[in-house]
Order: sequence, then C-alpha cells, then structure tokens
Amino acid sequence: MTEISRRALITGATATAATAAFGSMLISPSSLIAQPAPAVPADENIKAQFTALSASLTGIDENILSPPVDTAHFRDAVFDRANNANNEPKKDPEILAKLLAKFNAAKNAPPNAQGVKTDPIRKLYEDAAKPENKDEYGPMMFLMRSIILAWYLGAWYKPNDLKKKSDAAKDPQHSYYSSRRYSQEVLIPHEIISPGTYTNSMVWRVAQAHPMGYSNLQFGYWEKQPPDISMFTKAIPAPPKPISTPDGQKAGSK
Amino acid sequence: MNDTSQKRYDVAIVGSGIAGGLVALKLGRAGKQILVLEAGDSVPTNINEEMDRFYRAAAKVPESPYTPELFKDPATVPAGRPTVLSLSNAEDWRDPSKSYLIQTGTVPFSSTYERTAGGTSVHWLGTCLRLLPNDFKIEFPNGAKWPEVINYQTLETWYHQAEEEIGVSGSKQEQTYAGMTFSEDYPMPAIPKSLVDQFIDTAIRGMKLWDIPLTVRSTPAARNSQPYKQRRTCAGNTNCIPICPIQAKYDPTITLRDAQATGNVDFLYRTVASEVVVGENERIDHIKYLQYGADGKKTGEGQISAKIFVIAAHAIETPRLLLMSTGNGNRPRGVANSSGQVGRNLMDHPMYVPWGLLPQSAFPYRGPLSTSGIEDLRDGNFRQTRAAFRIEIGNEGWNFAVGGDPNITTVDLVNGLNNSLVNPNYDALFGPSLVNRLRDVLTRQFRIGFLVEQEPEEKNRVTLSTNHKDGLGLPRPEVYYSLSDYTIRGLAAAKKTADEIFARLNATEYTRIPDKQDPTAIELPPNEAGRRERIRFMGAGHMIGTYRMGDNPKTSVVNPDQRSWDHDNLYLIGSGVFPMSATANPTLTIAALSLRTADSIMGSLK
Repeated sequence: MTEISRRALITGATATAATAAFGSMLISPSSLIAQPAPAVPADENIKAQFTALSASLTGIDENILSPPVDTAHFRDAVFDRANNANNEPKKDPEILAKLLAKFNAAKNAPPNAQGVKTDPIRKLYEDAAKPENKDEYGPMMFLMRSIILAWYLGAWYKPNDLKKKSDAAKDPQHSYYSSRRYSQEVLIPHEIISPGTYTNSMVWRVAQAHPMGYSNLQFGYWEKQPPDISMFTKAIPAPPKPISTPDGQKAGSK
Repeated sequence: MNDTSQKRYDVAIVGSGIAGGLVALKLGRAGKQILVLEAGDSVPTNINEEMDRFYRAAAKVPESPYTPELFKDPATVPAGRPTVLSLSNAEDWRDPSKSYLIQTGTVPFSSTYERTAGGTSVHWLGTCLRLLPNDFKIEFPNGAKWPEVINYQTLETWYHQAEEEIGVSGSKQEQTYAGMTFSEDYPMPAIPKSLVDQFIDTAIRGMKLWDIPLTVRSTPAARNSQPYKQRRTCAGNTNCIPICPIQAKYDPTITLRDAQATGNVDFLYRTVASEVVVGENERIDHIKYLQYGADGKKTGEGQISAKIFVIAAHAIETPRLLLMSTGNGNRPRGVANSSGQVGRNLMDHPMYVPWGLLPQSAFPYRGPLSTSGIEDLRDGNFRQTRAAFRIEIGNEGWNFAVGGDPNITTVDLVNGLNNSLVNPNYDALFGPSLVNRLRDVLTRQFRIGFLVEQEPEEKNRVTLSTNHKDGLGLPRPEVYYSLSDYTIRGLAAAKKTADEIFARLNATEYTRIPDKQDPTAIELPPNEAGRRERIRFMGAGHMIGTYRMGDNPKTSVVNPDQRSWDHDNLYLIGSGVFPMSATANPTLTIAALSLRTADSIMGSLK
C-alpha cells in the first residue's frame, strides 16, 4: 500500500475560495460550475483509495462508481469536491487525507478474536462515537456524508451545512414541511456538480429506476417489474475471456 | 425573417402557446399571412440547452429549463412570470421583490406560467381529457354557463381534430363514461398503465363512493405510444413536467415549427404587446409593442396592423393587456370590457395531493409522470352542493408531493434528518443498510392528486398593479384569489375519498398536515366524525376564466367563436374563455376551441 501523499491531496485547495462563494441556495450559479483544475493532479493510487472508500460509504460496487470508461468523470468530480472541502468545518486542509488514512487503517485491521472483520466505515463510526475522538473524527463524519450525497444525488452538500442541519434536526422549528418549507433555514443548500453527475447519480439505481429526464429504456418498460436490485448496485462480472487456441485463433471462430 | 414592418398581415396573434400556435398553423396552411408576437425567447436551436439548465438546477421545478432565469427581482425582468419557488414560501408570495404576481387574495394563486416560445404548455404534463357532456350544462349562481352552441356534441369533432393535430394516445373504451361518446378512436393506442396504476386498480376493484363505482382508467395524453408526426415513441423519461428530452410528449414548439414551415407565418420574439388600439367602428386598428434584447434592456417599440387580431396570452396576461389598453385614458375600462367582466372569475383546479407508502414495491420513478386516473367522480348529483374532482395517479413517487424527492428522503437517511417522516429515529445510514432502507422507501412511494373543480367568482380577479411595474415599465398583474365554500366542500370530499382509497390500498399515509401559517392551508368543514381537518392545496397550473364566453354580451366577454362582443376583428382565445373550470385539464379544450375559432376567422377573412 502506497503511503498517502498529503501534498497530492491538498492540491486544488486554492479552488476552495471560489466554491465558498456559493450563495444562492436553489439554483446552481453557472459561473461556479467549472472547478479550477488542481495545480498537480492527484495520484491515481489515492483516487483508487477514494473509490474504495466511496464504495463502502455508498453500498454501491466500485466498478459502478468508477467504471473503466467514465464519460461523466463522476469519480474525479466527487474527489475534487471532497478534496476542496478542506476549509470546512474546521479549516483543515488535510481532512480527506486523514479520512483516507483512517479508512485504510480500519480496512487493514486484523479480524477480531472470532475471526470477524468489522466493516471499516462502521469502525470509523464506532471510533467517532468515543468522547475522546470527537474533535478528531467529527469533521470527517460530515465529509463522509457529503461524499455519500454527492454519489447518490450528483450534488455537493457542504459538510458544514450538513452538520448545521443535523444539529438542528430535532428542533420542530426546522421542520421541513411547515409554512417555511422552502426557506433557507430549512433546506440545505446544494449544487448539482454537473449534468453528468446528475444523470449518473446512484439514488436512481437504488430506486431501480432511472434519473428523471434521462432514460435509456424502451416504451412500456414501466408496466413490468424492474430487474433485481443487485443488477443496479453490483457490477456485472466481465465475460470470460475467449479461449485462445495455440495458433492464436479464437475458439469456435472460423 | 421577413420584414414585418412592411408586410401586410391578415392576422396578428399575441402569444405563441398552444392556442395562438394552432390558430397560426391552421391559417398559415390556408395561405393567410400571419404574424405572431411572443413576449419571451424563441425556440432554442437545440433542446440540450434546456436540458442542461434542467440537469444543473438544484430545485427541479416546472420553470427550471426555461428563460428568463429564476430569482431575479421581477421589477427588472422585461417579460416576467410567476414561479413555483416564489409562490410557495409563506414569506414570499406577497413579496413583490420575489413574486411577479402582486397577490392580494386570501390564499395564493398557486399556478405558474411561462412566457417563452410555446407558452406554458412547454412544461405541461400532456393530459388530454375532454370536458364531460354535463360540464357544458351546469350553471353557477353568478351566471357562468357555456353558450348553447358549445356543448359536447358540437365540440366532439373539434376534440377529435385536436387529438389528431397534437397526437393523443388513448383508449376510447376506457374514456366512455359520464355520457362521453367518440365518433372516432384516438390516433394512437393508450399508454400502458404503470405498476403503481396496476396496484391501485387491483386494490379499488368494487369500491363505490357516492354510489359511483371507481375504476382506474388510462389517461389520454399527448404522448406518443408509437412514432407520430416524425416524433419518437415515449421512452418513459418520467419528466413530462418540466421537459420531455425526446419530444415524445407534444409541446407547442412543434406546432410553431409546422406553422413556420408553411412559409406564411412570421414571428417576433422578445416582443411584448403593450396596448390594443381601437380605431373606427370599434374595430381594432393596431397593437403597440415593446422589444428588448438579450440583456433584458428595452431596444425599441413599434406597432403592428392586421385585418384581425387574436390575443392568446392566457387568463392572466390577456386581461392584463386588455386592461392596459386605455387609449390614453379615453377607455378607462380597457378594451373588450363593456361587460366589466375582463379579469374576473379567475380559476384553477385546487389540488389536494396526499402521499404514502404502499405495502409492497410498485416501483415509481418509472414511466411517464402519470399514466392513469380515476375519473368517475368528475360528475354526479353532488355537484349541486359541492365541487367535483378527478384523481390523477402519480408515477413520480414523492417527487412532486414533498417538493423534490428522492433528494429529501436521501438526505434524511444520510444526514440523520426526518423531513420525509420516514426516519423517526434520525438514523444516519451508509453502505448496504442505506441501500436497503432507501430502496424499501423509494420503491413503495406513491401519491395521488385530486384536481378539484373551482366555482367561478367575480371577486377572484386579475387587475393592474398601481405600484409595481415590470422591467419594461408596464404594470404587473395584481391577483385576488380565494376558494369558495362550494370549492372547499369539494376539497373535503377529496380528503374523504383519499382516506378511503388509502385504507383500501393498505397504505401508510405520510401526508403532512400543514401548519396554520402555511398560506395554502385550508380548514375543512367538520367531517362525518365531526372533526375539522386542515389540508394543503396546490396549484394545478391551470389558469382559467377572466374573459369568459357566453350568450349574453352584457355578462360575457366573448361570443361562442371566442370573438369579442365589443370589437368585430378581435378574438380572445384560450382557457380564459371557459365560464367554469369543471375537472378536465384545460389544454385539449383550448386546442379544440382554437381550431374551431381558426375556422371562424377564415370565414371572416373571405
């Protein structure tokens, strides 16, 4: 396992100032859609770790999150947002690096005495619940939620905004479906990362459906049951490689 | 484009929506020279421009794909419009810096419209119900009644022409109820019923209310069930509102394209009619207009002459234009208003939308937004005492009901919130447990919607704001809107019906009771158990009334041909002429009356 390069992770931090200006809560200001490219590209190995973290967080297969041909550049878009979220909530530029380090450690931890391996995210949650870990783990927990929502909805919810709403959740004043249902105090500001992240977002797979406004299905499909949920959340195994004959001809070919 | 200032036009039409578009097309095909003035932008060269705006919109509301952009102070917008977001918040609906409409009523007028090429039907659902034979016979206390010559029998052939022109999929067998007959079948077979429809269909078999058996019927819709007029078959994008990405759903830009192809129809975009000017013998002489550029700034003004003028700017902008046309104060009532009825009797279909979870997965978020309805309660003896309604079955889960699912539920389950009410323990989930819980909720979500008939009342009206102007300096529409006891009794019957259907479905209801401060909260009269319940109503997007049709020039604005009683060469078309709302989504009747009126105009041009 390559050690995480924190330097590589924090590149792109300068883009943060631009995204922090995001104000209007409901419609993505087009001027803020384009993210400035990091000065130094993040290491592919770190991105692979990020994909593994994402798969554990979302419950969706890695190969679905980050397919070999990813025309929407979804994984990179979520990675960039997560990497640029480093000024929130505690202005820690290395928060994603720390999260990946904790995740990798939990993932590589040996099984317990019964031989059972704890789910690495569950381990993170359990550790975070310990009073002595509150300061260290708190910000990471909300970054994890931002990452899940980015994959599920194709939208970026800032960790700090999630924290604020989560803290206020049980206060009836903040009930969504009051007369203030569209007010800024109730709704969590968010921004669709790109049209491609919306049309590839994972929530529609979990619903065994397709993004509203983006169907590759055929007329009348809606009168029949959809395929099993596993067809939406698990990658289909690659077809077996053709068996080659000694002279290089594919078996069965003429 | 032709030089419109030099050309002699037979007909000038204000508004390029379905009404204005169909008249332009029919007259253009007949070789008449037509000019269409559209207040908003032209049809984009590529639908992807609109899809891109839609995909990027964090709140995907009916207006999202279309111009002008949302969230501008309406005082700065040259051709503004009400928007869902500006009308829904308790603080905003009476705030002129957020709401284009200046609202003074007891409840918000909660429907919105577009000012762009194609009009509001660019974001319509596509529902193509006909009015029922009895809808033409009803009379309301304030004298609202369809003219004698407008009835189901006389409109039947026009309904069929409209269905052919815009392309409707339907089953005449399923639509033969409440006295409806069909001379010919729909041009395309019905759209298949969704799994949600099928579940409800099975569950309500044998159910009767007010002695009327309930049936789930496929809804006739302007949505292709097979290739039609060079447009593709519906692929179930579940996005009819606000935009079908493949134009399998009809929208009026298709008619505008066909009209332009006749070579006889010219268009002026970003051109806002500002005054209808009356000349000799009370005939309309010309229409004045203002124009603006891409930056929203005024670029010029002009006037257009024609033999005949048609105003097709729906139930709010049409009366606004007529009331603005005061001839420098010589006509204080405006144009076409000797009856004093212009602007009065504004209606909608107040909608009650309950939602819940079915006992098993019925897989919403698949197929067109709605494929079936329960139409049996659109008519009955109960209409003597309360409003009727139709029931629309949604295929979009809680998307419309809670204002943005699957986002609301997903954020709840990830961030430990309970705005959806499905997360009472404030769980914050991840991994397989998130997949399982979210799947369980999303695949069982459903909603139904009751579109309630609204009683026409003169006090519900559109006037001109004296204080607030738009970006071109024209007075903004002021709207007084309220719901009568007759209408509210209809909403109460809808609530009772919903409760019985939910019980039949064995569904768990999640409909929120609105708080008292909610401007759309309605206190219902005591129910059978003596309890008073509070429900929320929504707008159906159906702007009806304000220049009603009738047999009497003293009590109506237009005659059965949609021609002004006061001005021989002025036609006012669209659902503004409906004397009452009844329960059908209005667009098909707008289309049928428009085609009929095009014939009348042709006759007077000979």
